[in-house]
Amino acid sequence: MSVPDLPTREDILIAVQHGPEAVIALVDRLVNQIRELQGRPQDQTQANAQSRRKPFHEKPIRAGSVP
Amino acid sequence: MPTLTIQRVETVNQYGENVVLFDPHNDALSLKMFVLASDDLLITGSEEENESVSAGFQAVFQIIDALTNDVILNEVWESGFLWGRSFWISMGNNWGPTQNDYTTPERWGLATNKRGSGIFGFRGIIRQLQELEATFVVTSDAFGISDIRWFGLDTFPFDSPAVGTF
Repeated sequence: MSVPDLPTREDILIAVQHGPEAVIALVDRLVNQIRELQGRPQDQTQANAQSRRKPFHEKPIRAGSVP
Repeated sequence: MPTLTIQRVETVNQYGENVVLFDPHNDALSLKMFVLASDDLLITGSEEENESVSAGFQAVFQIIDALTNDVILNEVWESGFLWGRSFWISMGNNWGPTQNDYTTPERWGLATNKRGSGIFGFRGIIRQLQELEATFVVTSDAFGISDIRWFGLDTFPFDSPAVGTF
C-alpha cells in the first residue's frame, strides 16, 4: 500500500489562489488516492470531470517602462 | 501628494493589437494597464532611507461578466516600482512561442454557456504598498481604478440550454 502524495499547506494555498477549479482538482486527486488505498476504483464521474478540465493555466506577468 | 493612476487599460491579442473581439479558444487575451506614479511615491521608503522598506504597489486585474455585473476573476500581483514612474504591466501570455501557450479567453475561465453572456469587462486597480519587514503596509491614499474596457467573444453556444431564470 503506497502512501498518498498529500498536498502541503503551500499546495493548498496555491490552489485557493488559482480559484475553484484548482481546489476541486486538488480535492478530486485526494479522493481518488483514498479510493486507491481502499482498493476501490476511481469515481468515474470524477475521472470524467477531470478529463474534461484543462490543467490550470498560469497567467504570466510582463512589465516595462513607458518612454 | 502621492498619486497613482491607471491612464488606460487594453485587451491585447496575439498580434499585439488592442481589440475588443476574441475567439475564445484560439486568440490570446492579455490584460494590460498603463500606470503613472508620482515621483514622491517612488522615493518613499527607498533603499537609501531604510534598507528594510521598499516602495511598491498592488495591482488587481478584474474581469466582470456583463450578464450579472459580477467580478468573476480577480487576479492580484504585487511588485516594487522597478520601471520608473510611467510603466505598463500585463497579465496573460500573448506571445507564445506557440499558440498552445496563449492565455485564451477560455483559459481565463470565460468560456460560458449562459445565454446573453459573452461580453466581459476588464478593470484594473492599483494601490500603493510598502514592504516593511516582510509585511505589506499601505502608507498613502494613492490608488487608482481604471474605466472598464468591455470586450466580447466571437463564438459562444447560442443553442445551449439556458442556465438560470430568464
